Amino acid sequence: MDSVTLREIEAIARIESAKMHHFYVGVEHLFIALTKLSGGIVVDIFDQSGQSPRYLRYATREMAGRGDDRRYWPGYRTTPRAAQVLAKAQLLIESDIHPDERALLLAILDDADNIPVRALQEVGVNLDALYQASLKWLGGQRAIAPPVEIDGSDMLSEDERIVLQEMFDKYGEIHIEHVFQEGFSGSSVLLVRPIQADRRSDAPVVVKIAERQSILWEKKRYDSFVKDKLPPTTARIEADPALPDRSPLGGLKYTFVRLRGGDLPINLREYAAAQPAEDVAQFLREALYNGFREAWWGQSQPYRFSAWQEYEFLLPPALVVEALPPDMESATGRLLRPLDQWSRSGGLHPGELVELENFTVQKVKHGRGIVRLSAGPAAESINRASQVEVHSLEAEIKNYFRGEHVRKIVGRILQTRDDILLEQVQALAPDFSVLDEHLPYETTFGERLLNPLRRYPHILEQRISGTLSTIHGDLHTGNVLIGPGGDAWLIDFEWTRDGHTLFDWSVLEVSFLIDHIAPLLGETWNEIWEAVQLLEALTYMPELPAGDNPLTHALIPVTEIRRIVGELLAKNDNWSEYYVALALCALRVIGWGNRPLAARRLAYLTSALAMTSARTRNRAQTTHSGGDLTDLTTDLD
Amino acid sequence: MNDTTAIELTIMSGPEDGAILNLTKPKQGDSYVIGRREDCDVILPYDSQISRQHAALSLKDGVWYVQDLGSRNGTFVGKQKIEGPTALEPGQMLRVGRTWLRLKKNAGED
Repeated sequence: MDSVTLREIEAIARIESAKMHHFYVGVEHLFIALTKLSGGIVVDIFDQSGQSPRYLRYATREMAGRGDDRRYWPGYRTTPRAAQVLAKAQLLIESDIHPDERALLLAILDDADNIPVRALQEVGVNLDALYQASLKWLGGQRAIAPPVEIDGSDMLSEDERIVLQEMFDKYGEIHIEHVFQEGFSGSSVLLVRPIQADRRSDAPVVVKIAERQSILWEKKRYDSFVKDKLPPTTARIEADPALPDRSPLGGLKYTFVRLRGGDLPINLREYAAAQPAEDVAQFLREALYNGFREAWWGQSQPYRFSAWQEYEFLLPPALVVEALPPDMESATGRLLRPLDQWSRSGGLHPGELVELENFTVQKVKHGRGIVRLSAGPAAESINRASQVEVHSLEAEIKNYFRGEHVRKIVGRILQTRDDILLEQVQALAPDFSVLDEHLPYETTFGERLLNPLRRYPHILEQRISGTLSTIHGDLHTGNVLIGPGGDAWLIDFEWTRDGHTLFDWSVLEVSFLIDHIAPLLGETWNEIWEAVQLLEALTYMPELPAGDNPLTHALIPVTEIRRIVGELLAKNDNWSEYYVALALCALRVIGWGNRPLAARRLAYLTSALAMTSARTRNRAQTTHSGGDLTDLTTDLD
Repeated sequence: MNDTTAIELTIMSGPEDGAILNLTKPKQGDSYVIGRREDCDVILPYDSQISRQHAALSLKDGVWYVQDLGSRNGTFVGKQKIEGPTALEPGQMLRVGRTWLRLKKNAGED
């Protein structure tokens, strides 16, 4: 049984002391702290004898009185008597008196002279009986420390509140100062200001709350990829994650120093919505790129890989499979192993029986009996390739843990990746035939856009001569905060790893397009296509001509991203390296049903444009005559 | 008011709750002065309700007496505000400002 520790009781005592303007920990505060542990020894014993723990608390407070408004020393002292009582409690704990609260109560009663004992006597409590009851107390329920008051808790779920309670249990109160706009994951990012018991507030911290496993994962990634590589002025993960037993969620704190002038920190998404595009572009280059280049993207090594190794995981799972009931597990189907050709080339059909062998559990959705399998447990993105979603595992879901190896699962295919992507494209209400090789849009050079739905398997197999470096792994605009002095502070290191250098920048561009460009557009395909034509212009000119078009102006940050990418390309002007990445990052977005139609349509046409552009070796060599482009994608070297 | 002897006072509340003061000889005259001021025998600086010179303890015929020194908030023995010198029984508590003090049990008999 886990229980409240002596140290935690002392923390509550400090809070109680501050409420009384005492700022020292006396026996009276320790006793009051005990009365505040719901399900704890004092509450339990007095409840059983029909007395109110609250009344005892008042009696104790009244005897101790309220202190001065002024303070005579910084921090909290411990009174000589409390020091003796705590030492006694510690001795009892060491001689096997448990839990800690019992040891403390016995030590308080032993002292006889202290304020709570005097107060108890005054209200007629039989101290001998109380002592006996404390010895005999069974500790039926688990004691729960009093909650930290959360100002702004209406913005949070119960599970999120539990995480914050644990993270800030040394404080009596916290204020939620800001809820950053949601990222793409289900996690929440908050700016929390802890308030000390004496009403002084500490520096605000950025808190991320997400599923426990993600939090643990992120801490691990942070320790191995980030900790020693951060520029001196960025956010850091503070201490160990909070993982309360009572919540499926966990939390991480990032340090944060308040902005000059008392402004609230904001993330890049909010910043970009409010600031001129030129400032955003400058921030991208000077704060983000220059700030992290040296430690991350700039330290790149030549890396030759197939696109799927770095990007397949962005797409829907290769298969959705229904697990067969255990009595049918001897059935034999087609044998599928991770990383083999089947996960990219298709050729599998709903209804087929498959045997999944030697996969790794990537995600467990407990409530729904779903397990997401992938190739392996390590950090590199290839480990998230070959994803298979297995349904109907309700009965044995508890046997699956993230990162564990699964020897074999037999199941029947419900859906393939093609099926899922087709559904997603149909949800965009296409005005074109979804199965054609091309879309009815032509580039400036008279080239018809490739249909991503048809083209993506080819793109996945494409060989890329790129570079490898440490990357953030999820660099969307919600994960970049604007720190003091305009520094870039990154948060959310869950997917930080060594990987394709351009990954971060293609994620960032897509994030810009759907969050900042799409809202400027109408949702008809024609209006979307007009915007994509501007993107196309960026493939053959360094920047868009200044003009009255507000869209051109809004694309200035994207132009800057392209300039940065230009500096990071493995081979000068071989832009296919980037377009392949961009095509797959954009294709991922069409499945995000919570994004507006215009954003998803823009993502689809952006993907189509990128796939088309990837066919040409580089923008300088683009054939202007059109029509007779050589397909160089089989080998870009 | 002669015959002054050593006494042991225990602080029974406040930030110094539990501290034991062993007094052997008054700094001036025959009685121990309790107050906020530095030159008191019992200095209690953390209680703003205590006057600079708040109360005095003195021994007479083997009995300790407490007397208020014209303090703003008065001196109490048990719950009773005192007027004039008041005898203290061994172990009895007295209060100045917010601070409770206790003379050692049987101190007068030593």
